[in-house]
Amino acid sequence: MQFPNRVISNINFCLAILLAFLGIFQDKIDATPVFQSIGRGHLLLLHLPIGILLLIGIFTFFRKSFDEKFLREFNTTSISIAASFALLTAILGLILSKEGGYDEEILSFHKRMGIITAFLVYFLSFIKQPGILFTSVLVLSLIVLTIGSHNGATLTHGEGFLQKPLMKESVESQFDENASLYQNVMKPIFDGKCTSCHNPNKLKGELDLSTIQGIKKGGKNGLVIDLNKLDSSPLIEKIHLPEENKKHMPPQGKPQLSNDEKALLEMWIARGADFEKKWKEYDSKDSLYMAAQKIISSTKSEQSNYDFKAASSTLISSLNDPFTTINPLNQNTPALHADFYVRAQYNPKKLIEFQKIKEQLVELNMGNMPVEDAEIKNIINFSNLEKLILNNSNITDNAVTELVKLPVLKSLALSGTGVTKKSLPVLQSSKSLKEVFIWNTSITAQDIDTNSTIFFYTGYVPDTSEKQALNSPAIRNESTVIDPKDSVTLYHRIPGVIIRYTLNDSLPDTFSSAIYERPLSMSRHTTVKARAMKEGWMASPVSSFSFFQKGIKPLHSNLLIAPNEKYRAQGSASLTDDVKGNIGNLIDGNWLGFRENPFEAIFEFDTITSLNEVILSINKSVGSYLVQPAYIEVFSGNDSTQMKLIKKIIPAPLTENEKGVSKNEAIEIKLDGSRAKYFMIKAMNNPKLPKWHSGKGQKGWLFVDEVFFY
Amino acid sequence: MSEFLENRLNVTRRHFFTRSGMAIGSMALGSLLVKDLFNGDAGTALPTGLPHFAPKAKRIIYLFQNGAPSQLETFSYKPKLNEMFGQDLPESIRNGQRLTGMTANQDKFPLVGTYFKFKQHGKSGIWMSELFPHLSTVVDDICMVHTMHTEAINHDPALTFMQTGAQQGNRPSMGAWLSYGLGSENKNLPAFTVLLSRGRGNGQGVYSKLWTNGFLDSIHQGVQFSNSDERVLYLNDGAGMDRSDRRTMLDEISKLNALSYEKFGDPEIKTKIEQYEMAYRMQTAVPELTDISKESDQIIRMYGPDCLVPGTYAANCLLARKLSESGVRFVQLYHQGWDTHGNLVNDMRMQAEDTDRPTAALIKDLKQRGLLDETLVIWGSEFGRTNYCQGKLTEDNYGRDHHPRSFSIWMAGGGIKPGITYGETDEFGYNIVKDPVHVNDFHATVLHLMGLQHDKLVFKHLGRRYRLTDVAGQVVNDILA
Repeated sequence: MQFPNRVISNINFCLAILLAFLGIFQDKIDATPVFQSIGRGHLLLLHLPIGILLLIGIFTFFRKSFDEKFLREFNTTSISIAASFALLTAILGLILSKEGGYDEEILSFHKRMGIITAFLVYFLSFIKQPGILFTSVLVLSLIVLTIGSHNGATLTHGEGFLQKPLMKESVESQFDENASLYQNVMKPIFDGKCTSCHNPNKLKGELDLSTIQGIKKGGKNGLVIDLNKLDSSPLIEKIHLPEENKKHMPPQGKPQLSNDEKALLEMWIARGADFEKKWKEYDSKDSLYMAAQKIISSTKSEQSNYDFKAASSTLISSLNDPFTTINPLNQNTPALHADFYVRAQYNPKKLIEFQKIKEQLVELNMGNMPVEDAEIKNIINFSNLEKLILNNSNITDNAVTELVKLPVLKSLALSGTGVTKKSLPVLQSSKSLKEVFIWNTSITAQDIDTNSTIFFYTGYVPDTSEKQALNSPAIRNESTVIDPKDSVTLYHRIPGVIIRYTLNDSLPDTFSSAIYERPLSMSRHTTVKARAMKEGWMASPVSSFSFFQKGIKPLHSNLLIAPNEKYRAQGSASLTDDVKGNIGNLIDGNWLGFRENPFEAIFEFDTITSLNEVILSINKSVGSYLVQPAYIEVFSGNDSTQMKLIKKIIPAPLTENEKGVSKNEAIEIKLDGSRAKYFMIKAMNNPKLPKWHSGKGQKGWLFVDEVFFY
Repeated sequence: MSEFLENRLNVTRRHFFTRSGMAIGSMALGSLLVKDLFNGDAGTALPTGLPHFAPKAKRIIYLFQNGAPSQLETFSYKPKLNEMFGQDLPESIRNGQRLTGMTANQDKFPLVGTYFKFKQHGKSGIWMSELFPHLSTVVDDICMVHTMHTEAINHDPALTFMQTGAQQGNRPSMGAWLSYGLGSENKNLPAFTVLLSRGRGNGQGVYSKLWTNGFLDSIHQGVQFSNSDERVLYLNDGAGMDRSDRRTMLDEISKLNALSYEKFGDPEIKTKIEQYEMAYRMQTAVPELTDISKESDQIIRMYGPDCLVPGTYAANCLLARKLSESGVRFVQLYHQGWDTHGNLVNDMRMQAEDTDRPTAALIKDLKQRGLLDETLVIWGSEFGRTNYCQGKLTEDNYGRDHHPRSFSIWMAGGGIKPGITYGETDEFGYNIVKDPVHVNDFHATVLHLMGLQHDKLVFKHLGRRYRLTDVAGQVVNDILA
């Protein structure tokens, strides 16, 4: 024990001398960066002497419970160590004080207290022995220490740090129309994000942002708001630096300014940083005012500002039914919103029941409900109602005269109702209304006073000069393969449309083509082309439907060569199942595709059958290489091994103006009553696509979905 | 050790009680500081069905453009790409980031500027291409976000990520989470409905896993509406069955189900009972909504004539407005046909033609009914498209591959700051240079707008707590009104 004590006492002596020296010459200390960072060690080190001294205090106070010998040894060592730390802390503190940015008065008091504490403890380390002297010096040092460290905390954390959580309510500034815009918006921003460092006590960068004088005065680097160069005031530059930049304000890790706040600060300074102009003196369309308004409303909406009592949850649930729901706006608010659903179930008595929550109801949606004028008297009792939706209800101007009595109604939706422009002055007289929706009423945009403070929204009015194209007519038939006795029904969903059509593959025109009046009967293969037209619209594009009559069904069908393995559908069965393929979907299970090999299929009928015609239904999508075959041959015979060629046709070759074609094509092969039990059809796919085609020289595809026999 | 010492180590009864008393006292003091300690497990508590704080939006209509429309042909104007038409993408921009298998083997990555003309619109000056003449009339109501980015590079995982917060398809989708967190407004309709349509461009699949309830109760599953004239199938009573017969039947079935719930205690049985009851009420609520035969000429001209043809995008937009107006919490549209690997110019033109007018109409229609401020409309996709050409490049035809590093979406209505552009990408439209928005951030923001704190909306499943935003997500405060 002897050795370290001696070492410590030597060190203490040196430190005491050093402290005394620095204390005397503190004005001349030159804090170089290295010393500055050592000085900041003060903030860490100061906790140690405090802790050790308190410990010694506890041991001294309860000294009777301890072994005397132990106590003596403990005191000797711990007081020496406490003295070392106290001295060292004081020295570092002196260095730190050179950094500046603190309230001079508090700082010098803190310095004095610190130095006194250090020397008192040092003195204590000489007494060592418990006794009256020891105890009184110890108590004195603890008192000085407490005062000194409280001052220190004030320097670091700002005035009133301890009391702040208790005083929150009263500190929050109140919005006041008569106060300046600075007081209402700018000061809360400075207080929230800047003044924890830039206050009269801390004065980082010798800057105080908590008062108007402080802001005008600036800091050690000069003005923060330079009225001579409004666009580039130092304050604005600092807040716009990247966060990682050392000069960025607020410093990294502290609460940052939001973009809205930055924008507002910038705008306020660019406009000359007016501290005086009153909130109410700003024009409501002023961009600065609007930006400030936005910040105020964003902070306002975070707190519930309803001061009425909540309705009991049993009451709320008793009012709820499947067609009327009442719910709080959110957790922790007494405000309710109610919605009516399903017009057929509308129950006007509900409004009478709602009198029980007339105070709490803040939003009411009765859109699309058959609300009558007489029921409005129940609504006007809802003294806190802010938003009311009555779109498409049966109300008229009489209801409006009642509704404006609602004292805090801000938003009113009357679209699709019977209100007229007679209601406009009545609405105008409301002091609370902010927006009124009057789309689809007899009120037009011209009726509205452009200077009105209420936002009247008249919504969409069709532009009569803009002519849209109608969409094409559609068919009611579920399938385009129909029984011979069936007819085809065309329709269009827009009332009053005229449908003109053709059955001969020509394009229907808008004046001479037949007008559709009744269902159309079809021949074996008929393409119906139709277009819709109506006054005030452009005629629709042509829609085209390829109809096939169901023909004679063969008993069996058999593919002699397998189709391409990707496009096999259900094999030969797909050819005669009366189910057409979708032009745009080659893998819908109805298309058989051939490219490497021709299409060759044999069809067996139950008896010898006389055929007049065969129709081969193909997919012609030229861009996708799906084209008509080069030729088609039909063979027949009563024995499947002995067939004779009875017909060969060569379809018209592909032309360049068919480049964009994508449609279902029917290739008709006339057979003039040929009689046989077996018929074989061979269709050779196009061996070489023409020059103008993007796949020139390559083989074309042949896609078949059905073969019909008549 | 001596017995004497050992005895001293033993704890006496008095000692034990003294110590226990102090321990309990300390814990009681501590519990004053831990607020939710005795309110059950704060992390797994079931939602109350009420927003955590005042919501800005009550309902969502999500117009999902399935297949990834190119941001460079729609909203993100990059004249630099037109200047550098055909030149190779500088390696310093791509910086070795991964590409899909479809273009990774291309020798060159020729930059391609858009074929379409861009213009600034409205007071807000938001850029939009000529493809959207109608949408550009409502730009002052929308907030354009240019810096969405995602982790997936192919359709299925990216789509699943965007809709469920995870690339694997086993999590609840956004609509299911909202139904779980907020419940249904209108008890006569499902809280989460799904409407599908298919455009004329190159399409990509949509699958029911995108509207799954995942591990949540099946009542939160999205209900897909049919594209036939009867938009909810089998809703009408069969021949010979009237309302009172139906009621009697449901009452008896409900008794049987209640019995079996008593026996097995499976919560899905309760769900079933509720679903039957809702279906019964839907019998009156749905026909009222889906009857489009009485739409006014004004509405038809606004949404375009296709709005009367079930299964079209226009009809789905109109129906979405009606459903939302009737309190459906989340209406999810999917419109296929935006996957423009090739033939981009023509495909984009057709897709825009089909969607532009109805999309703009939806915004106008909500606004004129006073509903836009409480309805959040989202337009977006799973990722963007590359600034370089896939396949053959000509002046008027090219293709673009998948690009997850930046893409554009927009939002309008409920709680969104209107008429602003958020985030910046570099002049090549490849990387983000300012204000990135990750998919998790997007989800956090949407939940925030609905009054939900994204890290409080949790469900415990298989021993771990799940969120839509999983373990990430930051609310994008700067786009909030």
